[in-house]
Amino acid sequence: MRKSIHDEPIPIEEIDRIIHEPARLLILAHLSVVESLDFVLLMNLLKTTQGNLSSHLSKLENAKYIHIEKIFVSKRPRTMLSLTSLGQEAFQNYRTVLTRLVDLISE
Amino acid sequence: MNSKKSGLEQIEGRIFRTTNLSDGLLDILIGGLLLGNSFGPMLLDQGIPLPWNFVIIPLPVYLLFWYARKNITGPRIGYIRSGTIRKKKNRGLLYINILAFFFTGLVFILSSLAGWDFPLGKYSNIIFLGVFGFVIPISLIGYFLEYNRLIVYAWLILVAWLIFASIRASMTSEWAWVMTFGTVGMLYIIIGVVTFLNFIQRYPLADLDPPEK
Repeated sequence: MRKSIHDEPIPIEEIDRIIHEPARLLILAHLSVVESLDFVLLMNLLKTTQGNLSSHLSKLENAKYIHIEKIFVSKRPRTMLSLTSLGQEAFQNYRTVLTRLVDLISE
Repeated sequence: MNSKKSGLEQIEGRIFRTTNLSDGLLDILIGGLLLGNSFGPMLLDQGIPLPWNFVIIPLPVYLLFWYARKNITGPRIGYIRSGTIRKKKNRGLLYINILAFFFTGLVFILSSLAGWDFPLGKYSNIIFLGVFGFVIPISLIGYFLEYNRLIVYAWLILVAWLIFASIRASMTSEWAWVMTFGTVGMLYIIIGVVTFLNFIQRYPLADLDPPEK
């Protein structure tokens, strides 16, 4: 039987505020299904601006959720982004907590 | 199909389609290979031996595909290193190809042993080979990759074959080959070029200053 909102505390404190921002959540969702992808592709997929994406990536990198690696391929720079194990774990936790929260408020 | 997939699988599929199918280059490559092959019998008559008659036109098309992907569309759309979901799907596609290859080989060998003398008429086994060795496997690949144009392309080949079988009596086989498979190849190329031009407009080359570490 589904627990009601009175049986279980709402897991607000457990919600990771770094991931909770929609753009950062989508960044982690995209990175979770690939080994790595580059900055340009992520910008195209999320239809966001360079500045906006850079700002979100910096926050995720500071939290050690993603790894940013600048490589050169045929003398051209490429910025590859990948999820760290900490980021993978935080993303899974976030999904679990949010599922619980949505379950609690569902009709 | 989409409703059964998890959200993350759908995201992965979208990344794959964006990086591999949205630029129209694969359509141009398939069309170019088909168009090139349609001239194969004619080039053989011109004294270009096997297998070069089937390679001489497709080879530059493949080189053009490789160049365009590396220098035109790649820098515009970006790059990816696939994860476990795509690697698993690629394994599935490999199994389909292996099964199709063995099945086609088996029918080909049995047909050869029977002297290509078929109960349903001269072209029945070739059509059988075409459907089970090409159209169905290619359609399955298109289905799994969610590359719907590929399914249409595969069945158009069958239509081309049926037209070829019906018009070859009224002209030489070489011309009938070009008229049917060449026309279908050109159709793919036109679709590919239109998709490519849309892609170039949608994804201009960005002058990026990626995040500082």
